[in-house]
Amino acid sequence: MTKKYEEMIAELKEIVRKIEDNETSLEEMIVLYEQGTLLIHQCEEKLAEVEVKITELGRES
Amino acid sequence: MDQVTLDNWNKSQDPRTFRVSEVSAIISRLLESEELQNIWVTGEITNFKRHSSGHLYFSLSEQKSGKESVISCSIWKSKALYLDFTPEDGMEVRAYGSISHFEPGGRYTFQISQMRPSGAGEKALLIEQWRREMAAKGWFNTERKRPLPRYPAKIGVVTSPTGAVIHDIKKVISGRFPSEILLSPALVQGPSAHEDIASAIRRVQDMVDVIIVGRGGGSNEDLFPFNHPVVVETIVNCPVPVVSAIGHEVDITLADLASDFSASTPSHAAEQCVPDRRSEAENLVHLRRRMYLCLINYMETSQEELNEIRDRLSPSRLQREIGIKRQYLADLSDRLVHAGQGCRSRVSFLLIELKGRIEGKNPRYLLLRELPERRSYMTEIHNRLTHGIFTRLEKEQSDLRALTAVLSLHGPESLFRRGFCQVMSEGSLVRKVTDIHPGRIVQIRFLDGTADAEIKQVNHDKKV
Repeated sequence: MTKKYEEMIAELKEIVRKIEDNETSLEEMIVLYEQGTLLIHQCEEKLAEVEVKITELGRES
Repeated sequence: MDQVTLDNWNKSQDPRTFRVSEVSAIISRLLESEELQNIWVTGEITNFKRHSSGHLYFSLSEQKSGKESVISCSIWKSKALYLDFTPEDGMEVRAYGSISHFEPGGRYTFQISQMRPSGAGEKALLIEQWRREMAAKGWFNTERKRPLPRYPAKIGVVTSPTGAVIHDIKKVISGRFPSEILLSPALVQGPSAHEDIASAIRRVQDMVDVIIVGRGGGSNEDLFPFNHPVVVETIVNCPVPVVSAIGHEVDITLADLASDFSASTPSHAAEQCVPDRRSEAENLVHLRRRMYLCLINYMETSQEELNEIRDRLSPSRLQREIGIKRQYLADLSDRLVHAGQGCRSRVSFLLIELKGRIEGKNPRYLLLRELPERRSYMTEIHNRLTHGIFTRLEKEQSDLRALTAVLSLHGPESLFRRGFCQVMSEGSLVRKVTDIHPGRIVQIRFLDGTADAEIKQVNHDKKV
């Protein structure tokens, strides 16, 4: 879960593109669908993080 | 030395007595002289009061060599609306107006129509000069503006750690998207604020995806550090996009002009930096639906294809297919046999034709045909040659005989017969007696031979 939201969304879009591509086989499609579902779940979890993290830099760092 | 009594004081003095209104009019005339009209006055604001009516009352004061001078001032509501700063006690200002006498109150006041902080004009000029220089360097060009990252993981915020700005930004971001905020604290006003803001930007710029530079509302004087070239250049050279949210919506600093996005407020800046989690969640639902529909659709299509293939694989269909293939094979083999025969007959015909052509060129037949002709030709040539040679030979012989006859008639032989000799000396014919001398050996030719002789003496017929 260290992936950035942006990376996950990019990956997800690529998965959807591949699924919609007529060249993909059914086996690949099912694997992609599972990956996609997992990514959507992770994205939703990330979006559900309400507490915003604030770090204050030291002046001399 | 008369004691002055009420009676004689009254009598001894100038009897001219002014009425209050007269004195007041004189004061008005004196105070409202041209010298005190439409003048600029500088000083420090003291005793500032904003009346509920909207009029402003205060004093302008000056401390000079330990002595304080004060004049009372007022600004009517209608003029106060146009002030571009909020006057406060302790502020140094330049004010334009006229002294007027308020007769009902027995007071005078400096009635102000325009007022600005001291030095504001110079600073405005300086900002304008910086603006021109920066514009010439292309710092404000639209094509320089970078798009903001769609999903920033970390957002740098350069502002005061205690102000409302960081609070507003935190509130908006936590409501929208789980980005991390890195607060890089900076002094946002004061003489060294510009250096502090620039170094706060540099401290955070390599750790984040986007930076918000923010400051709450304030006077032009307060916002001045955000016009400073040190700050603007840092924003221009920042490796990640910069969103500015400085002052109120109407305030435009040079930092706003140079930033990649100029937001009206810190909350607005935060909204621009992160997407809204609700629309993101909707997007995810949409993506999930697209994947699902696509998969279902594909599976339905695959099922249909499978059914069709199963139908095509039925035994009767297979038999029919095999029959068709078999027939096709028979046709092919027939065509092959026909083609083979045709080919063979064509080849043998060609062979005969070639043989005929080769026979035609056989040298034996050629010789048999042409030899008799050539042989008779040779005989004829031979005859002509022989005949020619004989004729020629006879002619040459008769010529020879005739020549021999002439030769013998004119040649030395007849002379030799008649008794002449031929004398040769050293291989040459001796014609004259001067050709020889005594002692020389000569050859003498006779008709039937030669003799060698030595000359004993040479006798010339004539004396030479």
